[in-house]
Amino acid sequence: MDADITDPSDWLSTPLSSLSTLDALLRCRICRDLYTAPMVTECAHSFCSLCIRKCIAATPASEHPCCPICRAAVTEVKLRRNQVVEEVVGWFRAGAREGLLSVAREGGKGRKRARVDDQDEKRSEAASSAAAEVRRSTRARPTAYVVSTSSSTSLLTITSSYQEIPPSPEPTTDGAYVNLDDDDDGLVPCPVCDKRMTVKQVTRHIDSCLSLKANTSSSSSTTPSSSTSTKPKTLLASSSTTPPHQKRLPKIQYSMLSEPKLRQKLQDLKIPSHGNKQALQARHSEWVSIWNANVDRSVPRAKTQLLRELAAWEESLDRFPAGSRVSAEGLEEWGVKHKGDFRELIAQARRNLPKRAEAKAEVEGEAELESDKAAE
Amino acid sequence: MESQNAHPAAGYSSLKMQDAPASAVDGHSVTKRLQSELMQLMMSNVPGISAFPVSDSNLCQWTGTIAGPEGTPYEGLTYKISMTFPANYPYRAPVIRFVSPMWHPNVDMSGNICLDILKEKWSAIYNVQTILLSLQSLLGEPNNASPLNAQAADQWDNNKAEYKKSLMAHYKDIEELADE
Repeated sequence: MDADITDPSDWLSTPLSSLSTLDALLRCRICRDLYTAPMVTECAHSFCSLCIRKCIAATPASEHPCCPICRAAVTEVKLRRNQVVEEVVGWFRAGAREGLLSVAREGGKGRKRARVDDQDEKRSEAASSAAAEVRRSTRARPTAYVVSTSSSTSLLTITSSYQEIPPSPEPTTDGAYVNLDDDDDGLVPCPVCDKRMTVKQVTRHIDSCLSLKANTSSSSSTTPSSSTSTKPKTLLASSSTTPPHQKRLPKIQYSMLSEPKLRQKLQDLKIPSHGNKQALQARHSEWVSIWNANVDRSVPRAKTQLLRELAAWEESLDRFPAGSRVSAEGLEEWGVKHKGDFRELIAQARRNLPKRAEAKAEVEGEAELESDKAAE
Repeated sequence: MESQNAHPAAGYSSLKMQDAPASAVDGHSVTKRLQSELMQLMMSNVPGISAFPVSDSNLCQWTGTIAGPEGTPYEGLTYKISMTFPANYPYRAPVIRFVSPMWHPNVDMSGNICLDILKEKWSAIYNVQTILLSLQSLLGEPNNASPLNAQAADQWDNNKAEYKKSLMAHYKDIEELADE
């Protein structure tokens, strides 16, 4: 399956199936992904900053925005960062999930091996190619060991335990750290000095960077320190010293602005200013949500990244024309790219279906593919 | 493809879109969310409902089936629905329609559905699965206070036998639909 899409059900086929609950709890109910800059509402529900902001922005002016879960009234300015959740998700996303999952799958495999046929194994192996290395090197580990490892609180403990296992030649979980952030180069800017580095480095770097800034005579360098105990401290520090260019954007009463004035606003923000008033308004509103959600991140992203997100949003408007009958054209490219995923999904579904329903689904699935082929 | 990309690129000329990995631009997108929903549906395999994109290449258009709940006039029957997702899904509700001819107080003869959670009571946390389950329970529990099909509402309240007769007169098997 697509490496981008993770799901709580990933755990269900492993001996650590109860982690499915934790996985689900760390996900935003709106986007179904792991929280990004989680915010807590007045009614104590959490959502990604961007998700809840877009939700509020999508509320018709005649209605008061309400919580998607409990429908209690929510006010955008009253959203607060949910820092503990952010840190837990950061840890989970930064490799703990992948590491635990590969260990868990290995444990499950040892048990099931005799029953699994070759083809099946090949397929599931391809599905988790990222974890393949780790699994190969730790294949012989018994389940009991897995369970005891999973109780450790830090990933570092787990990785270092890896190294102690005799048959494991190298700890490949390190690779998981590098491509964590969704930036194009896998690097994120330091919120203080804008220097780009990996997520792992930045959390260590901020501390020294801040002290350097506060006290110019400080002798501390920007080299990452080896101590891991500074992690919670650095997150705290970064949130309390928001750089001035990361100020939230105010909302605009669009009905009070003429089209030229609104266009000027977009130009002032240095975002694209083409289109009619409706397009300008939608773009501005989207930009405010994207921008403000970025401010809520403990490690904000560069503006070029945000502009890319805005461009992607605009493109998706074309691909999903609201209200009108939808044409398949715009999604063709996407479909071709993800064709393998669909096949994998179908295969997965078939494996999961109880015998009773199996025959029926197969007929349906095939009909779907057939009709698609015909359309092409 | 060419013509379709012409307009949005205009204002973003400084950005090299092709350099960005999918994960960077696809962040909180509709497609990602729908992919996730598809996965959930496949993995959870709830009996009586199913849904799938119409084709590999068109994730904003799905087709689904709902089995009539037991103990209702719809027991043993299967209905086909179409789902169209807007660009701002899940902030806006998808458009759901019965493709199978449907005899029900809250469904008109064109398949349009009157259900609050698909209109003003929509919430961004609803998804394909919750919609299908809601529709399934709507079959057994119509809201006769605001019917789209007044005759069906009247039959439901006063003459269940007649209701079942009308229902069967309109019903078309899913296989027959596919042939059309």
